[in-house]
Amino acid sequence: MTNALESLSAQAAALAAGTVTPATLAQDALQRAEQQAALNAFVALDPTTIMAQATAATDRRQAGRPLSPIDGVPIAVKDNYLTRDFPTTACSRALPGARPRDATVVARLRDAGAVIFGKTNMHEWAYGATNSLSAIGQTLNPRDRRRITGGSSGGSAAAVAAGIVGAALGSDTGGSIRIPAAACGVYGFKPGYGRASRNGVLPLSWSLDAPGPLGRTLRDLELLLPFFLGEDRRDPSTFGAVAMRDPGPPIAEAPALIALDGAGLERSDEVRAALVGALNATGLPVPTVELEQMDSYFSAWEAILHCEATAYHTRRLADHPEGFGAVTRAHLEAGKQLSGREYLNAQSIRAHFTSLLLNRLGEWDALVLPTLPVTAPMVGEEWQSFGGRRVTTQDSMTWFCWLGNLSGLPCVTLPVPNPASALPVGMMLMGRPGKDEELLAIAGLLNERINGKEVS
Amino acid sequence: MKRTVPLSQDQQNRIDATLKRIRGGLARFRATRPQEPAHTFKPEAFDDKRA
Repeated sequence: MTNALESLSAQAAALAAGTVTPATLAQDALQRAEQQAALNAFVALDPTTIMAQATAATDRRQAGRPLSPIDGVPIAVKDNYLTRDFPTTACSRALPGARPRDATVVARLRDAGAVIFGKTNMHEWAYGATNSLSAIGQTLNPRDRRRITGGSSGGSAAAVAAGIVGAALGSDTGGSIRIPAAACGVYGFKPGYGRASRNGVLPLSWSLDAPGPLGRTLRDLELLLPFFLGEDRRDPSTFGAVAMRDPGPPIAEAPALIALDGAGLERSDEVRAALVGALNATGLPVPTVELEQMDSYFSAWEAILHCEATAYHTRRLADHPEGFGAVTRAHLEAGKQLSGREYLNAQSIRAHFTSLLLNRLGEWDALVLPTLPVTAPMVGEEWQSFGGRRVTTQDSMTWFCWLGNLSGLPCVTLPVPNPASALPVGMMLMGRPGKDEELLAIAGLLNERINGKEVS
Repeated sequence: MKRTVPLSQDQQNRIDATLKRIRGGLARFRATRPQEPAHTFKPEAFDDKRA
């Protein structure tokens, strides 16, 4: 196995060329998972189940009847997606691992022949952004094992960054795809709200949640997004959503970018320098707009998050409060004390925020922010200081990302060079509603100018 | 079965801090007029018989 075959797209190309078999890919991935077990990236990994899928895919390939270009490619799945062959626990002691059925996205991937390669470690119930709180313990960052992955899809990011799998599934309520992707130096995409099926993905916050892919390349994300986007009759939020389409060439030639800054959007000097360098490399003009009232908008996001999470967990919280981690339970108890009026006030502020971004910043195709204000924190570090701020590590992880969930806009994170250290820095782009495909095209243009042309 | 498990002081402190932050942020918001909340409801999305 060479590095060239670490991305999902490279693996798909090798399978199409017949230079590798699904069984070999699965065996290699299992071997790497075993070698990298100290990362604690997986909560469920059953070689028998994995090899059965890979063998079936090998038979289809050898018979000349692959189900799709990704037939036989291993893909890891976050442990809040229901899967019929692996238990689903959300890495919480409050949830016995049931195997009722596949989530819609998992079913679509399985129908395309993908090898469902185990379940990945996550922050309990996705209710946190560090991956430090999990029934099976902390996930470690493959780029520096003294550091956290960020979360809540930390196991998925670690599995991809470590080269165990080329791509993995995550979910994102305040950055849970983008945060660990950026901290581990890989790519991640949060679809716009209502474009991607949440069916069978255990909820954290119904109106903020979005499932999406993490990958080693943008092409990996492009290959997986069709399995997320489009109407799913089992998810009413997707009513009327269109399947993934070709955005066409023009928009990516000279996209209008606006960088966001201001009080509440501070970042460390290291991250600021990396982002400035990356934007300079694009050769595009990137005016900066300073936003105001960020504390109120953040409070709206937080109020919606806690209210909806508490509503979902009401029965479980009453019957088994001890099943939740101490911090998770505190979040849920806080949500119980917020009123319906406060929730709707937060949803009203959310409408203001979305309208502000879309209508009052000038013409733009993508908004630009760092994905994180700091590089990956050390394990056990409880506070982060940057830009004159001192905030909890948890708050530092969601510092920018919640903007994408409050507004419901599609978002992508891509790694950018960091001249100051070997630690990854991510750049986040936010696109316009319904323009997930255009956002991906813009990310492709910028990625090529910043990081060079992708090989596969 | 409802169970009573008392909160620790740390948990209570976290709850108080979270509520103070949220309520403070919501109260400080300045807008010229209230906006209809950003909830959406499409009845037809729940029609299992839709084509």
